[in-house]
Amino acid sequence: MRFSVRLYCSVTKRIGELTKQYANLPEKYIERATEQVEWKTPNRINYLPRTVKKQPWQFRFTTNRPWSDEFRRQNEGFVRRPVFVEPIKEWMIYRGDRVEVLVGRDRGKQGIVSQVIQERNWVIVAGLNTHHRRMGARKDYPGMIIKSEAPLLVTTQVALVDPSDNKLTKVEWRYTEDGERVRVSLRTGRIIPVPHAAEETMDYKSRKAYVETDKDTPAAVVEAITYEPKLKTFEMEIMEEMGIKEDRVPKKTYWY
Amino acid sequence: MASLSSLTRSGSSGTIRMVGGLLFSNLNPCRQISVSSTLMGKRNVRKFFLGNKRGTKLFRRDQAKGKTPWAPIYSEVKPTGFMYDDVWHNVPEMIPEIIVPDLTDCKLKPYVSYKTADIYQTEFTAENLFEAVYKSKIIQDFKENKLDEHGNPLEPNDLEKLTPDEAWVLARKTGSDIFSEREPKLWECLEKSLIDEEPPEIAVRSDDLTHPSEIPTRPQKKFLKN
Repeated sequence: MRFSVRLYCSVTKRIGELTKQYANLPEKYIERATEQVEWKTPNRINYLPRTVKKQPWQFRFTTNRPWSDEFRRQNEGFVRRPVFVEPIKEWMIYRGDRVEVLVGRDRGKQGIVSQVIQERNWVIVAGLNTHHRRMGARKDYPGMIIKSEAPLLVTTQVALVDPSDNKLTKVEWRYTEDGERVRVSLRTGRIIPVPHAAEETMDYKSRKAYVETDKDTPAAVVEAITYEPKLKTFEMEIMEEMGIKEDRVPKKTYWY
Repeated sequence: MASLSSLTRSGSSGTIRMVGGLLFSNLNPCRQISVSSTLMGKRNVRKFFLGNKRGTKLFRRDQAKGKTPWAPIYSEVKPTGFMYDDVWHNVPEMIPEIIVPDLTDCKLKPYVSYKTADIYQTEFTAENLFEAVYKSKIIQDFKENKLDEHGNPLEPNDLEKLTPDEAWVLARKTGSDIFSEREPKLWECLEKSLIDEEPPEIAVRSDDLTHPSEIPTRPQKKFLKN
């Protein structure tokens, strides 16, 4: 198999970094939950290990998270025509950013990004670019009408807003004198800081705001230095602690 | 009669498309005349999870009892004994002993809190160990003028009295094989300075009656730095 093909053999490599960061799930779990194994040889000596599974490029990423059940249902069945996603070198927009919509009914309006879907270059702005859909309709019950936002493309349909004058601007990643990587507006030169909501994950809003549970080792215990340097090898220290005494002296060995 | 039968054989791609009589799987053309032989064949294990249902019921019944030594039930569980003359002998030593340390008063839990700061630690070198062990004593001796002209202590403590041979013996008493690997040669391109290379030690054989002090030593080669 070609090396370039080998690199993309797992689905997790096609999932965006921001998606994985928000989930806070181990990569192995994401891989296991996303991949759709069609058939696997039994784990027995008379079988060679062979797995037949859906190829990573056959997955079409949606607004649902890749490890969720809805995503699996959307991707099972026949393989759809692939969607072409423009590869972006440097990702500009984070969750919590103020952004202006450029297309659609809400063009010109500004909103805050509530979700980023890197795999499709999508961004969901809260309250903008919405449509109505009906849920839970039955024979006697007409159903509930829900307003839901549609995703917008990061490249063409949305632009970051400069906080100094609240107007849209093009942005570039640059380094400050301290070596910090920041987004700079090309029009005014003002630094647009990464919002605090970008730090949010499924487990916490911010690391400081995390509430420790029973199974968590407290931060103080983890950061405490308990190592005491001694002039003993690892085995000597253990023998001392366990109370093992050894008086035999081994003979010297030589290399010829 | 040769006939092309369309089948939903999913290999690496989803479905197969029939285009003009040719089968296209993953856009690679492949021809087959009849596939019923492969599907119905004995060696076709691809899409069928045979699991434990292979063989007749009577065979599987005997297999469970162990009456089919030519086809045992494959299991990865290791035996805790052996069979000798159709008699099973249990060996208690073969039962694995799981040693779990005593976890009372252990503050560590299975997970780490997200609040912990990112910890970066530099390498703990031999120099750091020397400082931790000897530094305070040396400073104390220096202040009290208990060091001789070469800087050696006049009242050495136990750690300062330790010689390299004694240290070697203490380290090897544990039964480990530390310090038993040979010194790398010049041409073996390991991380060794070529400038400070010492000649290899000549081993003393047991039947050699010459005293070590009478063995002629090789002249020390000194490499120029530039």
